[in-house]
Amino acid sequence: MGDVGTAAETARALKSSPSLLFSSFCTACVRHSLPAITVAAGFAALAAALVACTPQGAARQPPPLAPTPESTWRYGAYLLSLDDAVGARPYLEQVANAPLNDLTDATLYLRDLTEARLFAGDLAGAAAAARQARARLAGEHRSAWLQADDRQLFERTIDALQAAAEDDQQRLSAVAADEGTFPSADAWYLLGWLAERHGQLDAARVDYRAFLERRDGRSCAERRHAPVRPGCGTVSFFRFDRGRVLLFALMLAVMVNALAFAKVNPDRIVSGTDSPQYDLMAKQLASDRGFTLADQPPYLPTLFREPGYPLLVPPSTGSAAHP
Amino acid sequence: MVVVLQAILLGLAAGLTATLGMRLFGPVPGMIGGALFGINSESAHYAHWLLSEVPFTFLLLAVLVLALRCQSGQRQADFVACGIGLGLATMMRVIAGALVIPLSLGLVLSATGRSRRQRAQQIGLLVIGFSVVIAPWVGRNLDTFGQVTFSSRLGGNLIRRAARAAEPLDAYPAWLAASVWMATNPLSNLVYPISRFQWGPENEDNLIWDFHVNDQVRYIGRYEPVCQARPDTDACYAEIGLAFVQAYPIGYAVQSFFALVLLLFAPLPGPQALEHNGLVWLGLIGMFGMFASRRLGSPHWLVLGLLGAYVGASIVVDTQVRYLLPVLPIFAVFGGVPAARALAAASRVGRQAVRSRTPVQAAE
Repeated sequence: MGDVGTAAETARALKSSPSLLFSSFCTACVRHSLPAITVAAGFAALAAALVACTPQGAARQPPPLAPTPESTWRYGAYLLSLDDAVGARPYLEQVANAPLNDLTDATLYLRDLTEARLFAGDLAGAAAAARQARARLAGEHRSAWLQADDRQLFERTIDALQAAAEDDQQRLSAVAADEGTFPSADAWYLLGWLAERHGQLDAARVDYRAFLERRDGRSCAERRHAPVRPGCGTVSFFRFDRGRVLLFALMLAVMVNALAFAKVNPDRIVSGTDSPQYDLMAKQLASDRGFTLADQPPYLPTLFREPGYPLLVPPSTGSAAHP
Repeated sequence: MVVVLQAILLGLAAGLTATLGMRLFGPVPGMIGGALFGINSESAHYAHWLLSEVPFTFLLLAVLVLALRCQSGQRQADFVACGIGLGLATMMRVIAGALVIPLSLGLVLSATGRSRRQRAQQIGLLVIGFSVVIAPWVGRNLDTFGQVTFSSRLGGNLIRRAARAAEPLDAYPAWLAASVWMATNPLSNLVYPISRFQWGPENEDNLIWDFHVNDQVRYIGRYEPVCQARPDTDACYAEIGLAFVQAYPIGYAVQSFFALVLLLFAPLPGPQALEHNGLVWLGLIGMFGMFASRRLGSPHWLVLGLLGAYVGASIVVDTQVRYLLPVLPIFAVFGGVPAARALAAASRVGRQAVRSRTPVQAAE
């Protein structure tokens, strides 16, 4: 009944004063479309959270606060995945002076070092690191992380890096052209890079095209063992993924903790705080009495409290949750 | 259902805290910061009550993370999303509106490689996003009350805070003692128990409680009979409060220090105070350490600037410790730095201890 009166008054006001159009529209929206507004606000908040949670490629993480060989290597590898071989090299070289056995995966580190040295222009150093990586890989046992296929692929990556470091275009071409079980996109990239160094721009263009054609269809194993450029950066891919899992686990733990706490502590409304007022506003909104803090007619509107929380509350609690 | 919703929002807020920490300090301090904020009995308390703290915290954190994206990525969609987030946060708690100008200024000042026109365009997008969200509520207030306003609590809040400015100097030693005690609570309670501040038979007849709450209640009670009789009670409180500010500007400014203590530190001794005050101190140590070692870059300054604006807006009018929860994640993120260092040091010591054992000892 109140709605009819309100609508008629609104219509009269609109006729007499067009300037009220906007505010009347807003009032009508707030009074009559609560569920829609609440749902829209919820979705907007969730969308904002998802946008905010999505890591952004352009932002660069700071160096490790507590540098250990492991964290320094990881940071160097991270810079490599951002295409910054020159920036990555000092970090990776620092690790070279530490005992490699301290690292979780020394072979992977040596491959990163090879890559950093190669793209920073130290070909001799890159070749030495590639030889070290090969020797280390030979001594590694088969494990869940290093199956026969992984080993084969890893060897091909090191082969390609070593051939590039030794400026051996012929050997690199052979590795790239070997379209066996695991065609290597990165060998094509290295071939293009080498051709570019020699000023063979047309050949480089062909090789880069071959790289681009192949990189999208790569297997997970190759993504782990053949990261050369961003976009095919497997080290950062796996680290990012692990970070995502940890982040998800943290959020889940927080939610479970909060729910368990709420289960043990059933009180929801605390006298002396704002909660009785929010509860009342939520009830009045659910009863279509507008934003009011009055529990008896004439339900005068209020602007004492902001509308966001009472708008969020009605669909979830209403009056039923508060006996 | 509201509990489930708030638990989900708290989880997302912890995720945003970790994301914020990762962007500022890297993965380990970020995750530690997220855990410090999320797995915390204070956060769980607010998630189970019918209070706006948790949704507001979530929205404010989304704004912070989006602000960092705006700063580094310069995508126009981020500026719009940031404005929308700030608008939603303001719909939840009006204090978020105080961040519009500092945020815009921070983004303009820290923008590099952008022309003035681009900067103006981006800030314009942020303001448009903000305005679109708050417009229905402001429109409703204009229609209903004839004022372009957002809420009407300024007077009621100001009177509780401003009247203290007129108190004589004799009152200050007791307030200083209460401030120091609260800032070091609960350790202070071990040295000097809160019971020693008791001055009357009732539980609330306590200097700490006077400093924290009772004085404010007394001030508002003093002017209630006058203002309740007026048609606009809040305007009456605002008038009297502003008169105090004008008459005692120095006293009011000095009181801001006490307001800061009231905002930052939990007053009652116990495990919650240990958790809350410990986290605040850890955050302050992290902030100071990063500042002293000159490791603060423009993203850090943007976050700290917004924290300063929020704290400033909180203490200018009226405050209490629960208003800190929405920015507690920033303390957690900065606190994650010393915590990560301590963890790394402990891990190094542990490894060295394991290595130093001989194989025979290890076998034993």
